[in-house]
Amino acid sequence: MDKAELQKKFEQIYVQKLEPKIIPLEKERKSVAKSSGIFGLSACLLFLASIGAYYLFKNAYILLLLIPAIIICIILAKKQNNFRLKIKHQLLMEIFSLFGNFTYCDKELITRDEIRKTGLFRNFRYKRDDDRIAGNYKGMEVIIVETKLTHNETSGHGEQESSTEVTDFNGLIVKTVLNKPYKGKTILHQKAIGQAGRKQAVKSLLSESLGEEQADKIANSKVVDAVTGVLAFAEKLPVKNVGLSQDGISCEFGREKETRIDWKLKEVTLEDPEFNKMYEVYSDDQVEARYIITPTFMERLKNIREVIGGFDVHCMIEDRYITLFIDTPQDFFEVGNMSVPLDNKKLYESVFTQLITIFNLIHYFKLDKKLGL
Amino acid sequence: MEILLLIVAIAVIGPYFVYVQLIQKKNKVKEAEGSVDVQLKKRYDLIPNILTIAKKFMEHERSLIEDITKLRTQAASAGDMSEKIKLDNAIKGKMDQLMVSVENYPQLKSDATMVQAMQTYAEVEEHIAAARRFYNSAVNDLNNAVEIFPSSVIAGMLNIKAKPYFEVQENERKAVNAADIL
Repeated sequence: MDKAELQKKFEQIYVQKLEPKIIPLEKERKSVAKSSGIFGLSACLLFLASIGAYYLFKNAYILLLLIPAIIICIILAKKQNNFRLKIKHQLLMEIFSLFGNFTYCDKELITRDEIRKTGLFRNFRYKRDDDRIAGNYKGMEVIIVETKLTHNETSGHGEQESSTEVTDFNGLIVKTVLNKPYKGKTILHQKAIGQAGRKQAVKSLLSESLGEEQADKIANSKVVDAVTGVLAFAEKLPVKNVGLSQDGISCEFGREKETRIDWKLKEVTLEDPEFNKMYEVYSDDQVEARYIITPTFMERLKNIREVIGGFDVHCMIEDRYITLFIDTPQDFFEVGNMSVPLDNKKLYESVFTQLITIFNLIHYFKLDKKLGL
Repeated sequence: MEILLLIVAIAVIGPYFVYVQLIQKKNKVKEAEGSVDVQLKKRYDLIPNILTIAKKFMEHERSLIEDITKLRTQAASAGDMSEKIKLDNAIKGKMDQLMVSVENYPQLKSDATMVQAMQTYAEVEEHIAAARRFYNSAVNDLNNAVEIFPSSVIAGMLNIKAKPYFEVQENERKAVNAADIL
């Protein structure tokens, strides 16, 4: 991808297509924000008044005043969500048009069942999609979903029982077609990243906002060195997730518990010991797995953090599709919301950079070329 | 008494586990051999088609085509894995020569059937490479068990021997000179 050419195109699109849309949307945002403020304030007042009146008069009927407050809150949330979707449909998709023909989808593109069947995240129960985008890039089908997978964990007993939300995955799911004919199923689960990988991820994450040089400086600083060193050491320990609670010390042995891979898939041991330390591979066919996971593919997957600022990067190859699960703290595709002015060019530039990173992944794995690598 | 029982149990169970591991590794090599055979068969089935098309255009490569046909017939009936490896390396070398020669025949190079056959051949080659990696990985596990004590003792008793690796040809190890191709 020629970055300079894309940057030129982005400038063009910003002036010709985005700006004319931003002006009326910004007006709408201000008016919606104003009315939301007024309605929000009235909902708060109703809420406080009903609670106050209940304590003063001890009459349960007074609590009925809470109903309009709740209705107002629901309407406000819906309004905000509609506005958010509107700007995604109108503005985000304009930036996507630089890369191909894409649409912002309301319906689920990658289902909970599909993710569960991979066995990569055995504990997750809830799935919350932030963005769902599908389309065509250079003749290839591409699906991009920003999602969060969570489950609840309870601790304590009886009245002291409390529940906390645990994140199993937070990041991007990128699904696209393979450049090779492939029939079967292969799963690659990242079990360790190592210090170099973590540092690379930090650098990639920071380079977007701080620039390559500054990001490199921070990634190689003593603090990052120490933190990544400790985390890399912890990866090797047999005891994981040590926690203190009223019941005493709790811990898990090994990381096997994180996945629940289909029993029909057998473990594949590849010839690269460094890769084997980072990934566990399962497949229904030992030969087909190696047909896809070539030495070049292994090398690319090991160094994937040079392209995208992600930590755990899992991968599933099934039939003619490859799905990458990129765990990253980065928030993608945020072009603004009710409380953020839309006429800030930096927002769109940031999304544009994020898209370059994502589509670079396709180039990185040479998925757009029939090279056989 | 309990200690004695424990020693006896270890003396019986220990070798049994080593035996199980050895048999599993031996069977894995057999499975890998089967996979290599399947992929090689694909190549041998494809070769006659490529040669039939090539014969029409490549008048000056008759001896090369004949060599490939002869090697293919030998390879198809080879029984021993080391013989298969040797013959396959020879076929691969000759086929690579043929593919390079195709470049000198523009009419053949642009022939739709030949293009299709070459694409399929490249795919089969990739599958063979994958099967070879699987075989080598299985052989590596078995050879380690056969050569390292204490499993080497049981392997000797069971007459399980180290297997040959499926190694690439000497010419494949050499760095490619782009000037030769372009």
